[in-house]
Amino acid sequence: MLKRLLFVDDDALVLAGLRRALHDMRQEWDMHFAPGAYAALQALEKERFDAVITDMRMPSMDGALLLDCIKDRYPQVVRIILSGQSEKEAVLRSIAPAHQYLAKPCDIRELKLRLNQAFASRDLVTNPAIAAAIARLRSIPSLPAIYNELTVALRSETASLGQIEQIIARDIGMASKILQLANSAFIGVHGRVSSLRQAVSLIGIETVRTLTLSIHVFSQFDRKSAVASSLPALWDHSVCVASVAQRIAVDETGDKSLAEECFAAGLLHDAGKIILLAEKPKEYGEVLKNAEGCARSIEALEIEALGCSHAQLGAYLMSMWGLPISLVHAVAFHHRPSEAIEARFSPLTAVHCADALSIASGDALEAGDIPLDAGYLDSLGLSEKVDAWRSYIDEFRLSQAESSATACN
Amino acid sequence: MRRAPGSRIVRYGLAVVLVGLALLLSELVHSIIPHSVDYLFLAAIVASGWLGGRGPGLLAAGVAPLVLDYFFLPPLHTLGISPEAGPEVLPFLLSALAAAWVSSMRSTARETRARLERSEEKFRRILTNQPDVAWTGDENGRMIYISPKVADWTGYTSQEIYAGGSPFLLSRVHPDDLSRVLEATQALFSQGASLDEEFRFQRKDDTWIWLHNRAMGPWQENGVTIADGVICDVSRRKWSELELQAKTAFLEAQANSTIDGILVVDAAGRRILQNRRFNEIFAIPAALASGPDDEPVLRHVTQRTKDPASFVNRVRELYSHPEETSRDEIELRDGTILDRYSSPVTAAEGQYYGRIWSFRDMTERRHHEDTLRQLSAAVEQSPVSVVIADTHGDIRYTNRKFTECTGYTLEEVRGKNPRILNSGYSPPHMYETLWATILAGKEWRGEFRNRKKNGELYWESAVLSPIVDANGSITHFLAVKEDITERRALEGDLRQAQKLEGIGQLAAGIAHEINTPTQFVTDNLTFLRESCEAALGLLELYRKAVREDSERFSADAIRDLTEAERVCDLEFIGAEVPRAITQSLEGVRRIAKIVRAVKEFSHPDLAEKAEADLNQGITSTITIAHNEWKYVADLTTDFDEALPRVLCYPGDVNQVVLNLIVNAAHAIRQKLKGTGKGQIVVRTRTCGPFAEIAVSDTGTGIPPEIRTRIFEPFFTTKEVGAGTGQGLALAHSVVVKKHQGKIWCETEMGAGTTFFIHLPIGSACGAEKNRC
Repeated sequence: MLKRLLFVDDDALVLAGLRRALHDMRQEWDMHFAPGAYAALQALEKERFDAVITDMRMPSMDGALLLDCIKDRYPQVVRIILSGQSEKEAVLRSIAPAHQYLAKPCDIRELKLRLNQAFASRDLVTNPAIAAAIARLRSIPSLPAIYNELTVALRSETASLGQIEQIIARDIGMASKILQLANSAFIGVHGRVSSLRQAVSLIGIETVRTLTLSIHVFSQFDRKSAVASSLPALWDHSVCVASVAQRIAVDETGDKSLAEECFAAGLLHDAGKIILLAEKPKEYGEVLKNAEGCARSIEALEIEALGCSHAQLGAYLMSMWGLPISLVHAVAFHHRPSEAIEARFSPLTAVHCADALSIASGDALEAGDIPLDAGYLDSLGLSEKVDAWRSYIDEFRLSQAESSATACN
Repeated sequence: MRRAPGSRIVRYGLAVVLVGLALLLSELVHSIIPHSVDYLFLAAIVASGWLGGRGPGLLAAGVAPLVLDYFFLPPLHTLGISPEAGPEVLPFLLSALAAAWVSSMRSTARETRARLERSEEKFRRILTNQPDVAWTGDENGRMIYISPKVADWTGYTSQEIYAGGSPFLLSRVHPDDLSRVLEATQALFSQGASLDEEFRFQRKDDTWIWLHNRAMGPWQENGVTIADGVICDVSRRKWSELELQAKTAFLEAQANSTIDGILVVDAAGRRILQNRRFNEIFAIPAALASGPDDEPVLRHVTQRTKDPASFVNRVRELYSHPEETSRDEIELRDGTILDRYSSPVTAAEGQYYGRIWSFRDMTERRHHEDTLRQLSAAVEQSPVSVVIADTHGDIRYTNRKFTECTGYTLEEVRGKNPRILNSGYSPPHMYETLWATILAGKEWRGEFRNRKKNGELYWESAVLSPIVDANGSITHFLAVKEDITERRALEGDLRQAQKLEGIGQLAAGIAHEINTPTQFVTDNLTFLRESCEAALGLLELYRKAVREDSERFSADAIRDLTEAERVCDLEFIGAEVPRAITQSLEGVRRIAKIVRAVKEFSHPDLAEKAEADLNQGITSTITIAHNEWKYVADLTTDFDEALPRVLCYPGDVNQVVLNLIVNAAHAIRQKLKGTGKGQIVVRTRTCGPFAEIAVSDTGTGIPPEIRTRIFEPFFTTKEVGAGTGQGLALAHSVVVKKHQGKIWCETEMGAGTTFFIHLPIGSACGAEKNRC
């Protein structure tokens, strides 16, 4: 089935150029061109589209506004901004409704790559209701306590970048959003950003402050939600997996930036669960209840009940947001690494091991036993390391307990 | 008539001689005249008595008979008396004696008269020679006698006075004194009270003299009541007395009119004089002040002091050491501060008369002094330079800040003209305006670029104003100056930052304008490239078909095709069109790169530290600066690809690198002067906890004498207009102050210079630690 794309730009020459440059994609993509926001909305009314690629600055209705409308009316549409603008304020304003932000002049190959990535993971989620819910999602909700901590820190004059980074590194919602922003073209960095530390540093404390306190890019869980009580455990698990994955990567490769990537991947690996808890608390609550004591894997149960697993869901969002493919892979395949086509040590490897070991050692909220993929580890020659890595889990828990004890004191 | 000494001998000798003469004569005439002998001797006796007086007369009378007896035996015979007729001798003797007596009577009377005359003469002489005038007058004032000396004083002779009658002298007495004199005179004559008056008297020449008249009386003489007196001229004494009085009055007035409290004591320490001020200062009650006793006054004064014991001790000590002078300060209970000065009063010969104490109220002056001291301390320690110059413009005072700022001490610049600071950078007309302004009594404000003692240049903002005295004439000039070098440098930094920000904003705006066309130009070119490739391939297929199946086509058609192919030079098109498209794409990419570089270079969005890829930033900067170096040098980069991201202000660091590259290009241009090209190498490497950036050139090198000054603000060796002198100063400020890094250079004259920058790599977490 042809993907239907809608390009919106007030400059006809840009549209003509795109039409010509993407001419070779005509076998896969059915491309339409709208000279303005209203024309785009009319087109969307008549026909279904898979993606909208719009200019930012347009007369009467700009790209951000257009995408906002599309988000509400046609949530499943992939929303991408392709703008020549580089004023920070305008860029920040467009961040929320857009899945991705690309800067003009954008290499046509980069554009193709991004679109293909978004489409590829989109196919993972077959349940249209869930797909729509995810596509509409501005951000993954944060844990209220951490969200508070961040706002307090940002309001203080003395907040440092390191402090902010440490807070963000404990929350899946904020971490994912920050990575999305860092991978937006407006930052002016070439190449994808997969390290949280780098992302925070690139964005800068002022921008984080603006984003958090003025634009409200982060959201938080409703404290009264039925699932609220189970959330902290999930967060603890995510941080544990992130830390241990990072340690494994350091052990295995000594590559610091890869280790940071592993941390981010570990933190985000269960993002799908959070989305489900937030968007479909009732249904997913049932799934979780059923999973307890059930021999089948939680993934199977999720697919049966919702049409997709939390891993697929998470990966879908990550790829729509333009996060590096290695992170998307780690999230998507963290239960079944063998299915990924990678045959070397990657964030997926670290996250899979850390997750499996963590669950084996009794982390909550993960019904059923997630076995280590022995074949996968064998193929990478890492089987013998597992015992050593297992101890990392305990050591992490110990250090957490200590630091919380210190905090209490 | 005075008798000569030895006149007694003469007189007795005369008697003997007369007797002898009588003897000789009688010998001669004896024979001629009988009895003459006796008569001669009698005559000799009488003459002796007459001339010599009683003694010689008796002597002659005694001697004569003896002589007669001896020579004319019997001598009495000559008188007809025989020796037997002894009784006859007796009458001779008696007659001789009588003759001697009678004759001597005459002599005695004469002598008495002479003695009297001598006495009179003596008194007259005394009266004439003594300075005073003696007089005798009656009760009417008529002079019976007055010493002739009176003429010397009054110009009137005694005779004139006698002739003038009774009122003569009184008429010449000063009218103011007359009644007093008359009264006294009346008292003298009526009551016998001795007269003692001083009065003014008009001399004959109408000048005035002071006379002192003393008289006793009265008594009766020849039925007239008289009195005797002495008048003396006391003018000299009187005038000096009056003068003394006036002087004393002046002195007293002076003592009272001085602001000091004065107390004069005699040698025994008794009060002689105290002026009103003294009483005021110590608040001495009038009764006490005028009272005769010293003790209560001293007690009162003592009680007024804050430290009575030491006050009294000091007084005692000075009284026991008369020669000492003392000066000290005492404080009264009411807070008054007195300057106490005491000095002895001594005569020229060193005799000690007493002591003068003076007390000056210093309270206000001390208050002024305190105020003045505080003010001068404020000036001295003022954070701005203060210079005071006289009307010639010579420096009289400078404060500490001036020394701190310029390096000159006050001693070095006192008396010198402030132009020693002149660096020659300030235009002469500025000084003309300055002088015109302050000489007109107005205030001048401006900024100088001056030179310190060590040669360093600095900027100062100055306020110059004249200091005028009470008459409004200018006595000094005051300059208050502030070193604004740093401020100007900061302003320079700020201007630079604003410029950068402006560039950044402009870049953002331009970027949008350029990026959009770039987008579709790129898209179109991409499309053209692919289409062209496809079209050319297709064309080749057609050509092949035509070539292979040429018999299917008419000869005309083939000829037309071949001709058309030749005309349009299809071969060239086939080769060059794809190349043209590829090169156009490259050009567009370059445009995009420049736009991106400008934006990245200025980083308008990053007002805070961020982790930056130095290599990328430097690449952008080199792109920006391309125009600066491309004609004078080849620029190569040698980047450490493993350089970690550095926590820094990327815009500032880029600016520093830009400055270094521009400087390098200038140094090379200066050396080569348009002949050939030099080399600029930009390197990065990790150096422990630092990221190192090195910019090398093959330029002139930096002369040793200015190496220490290259990072100073406004220091430039470039000609006016070519450089602000801010580049390296800014670099220093950015690297050292903003990043706690290091910047230095290695240079060799004629070979080139390498500037090194070390930036702490830091990190988000590291920054955390640094802040704590």
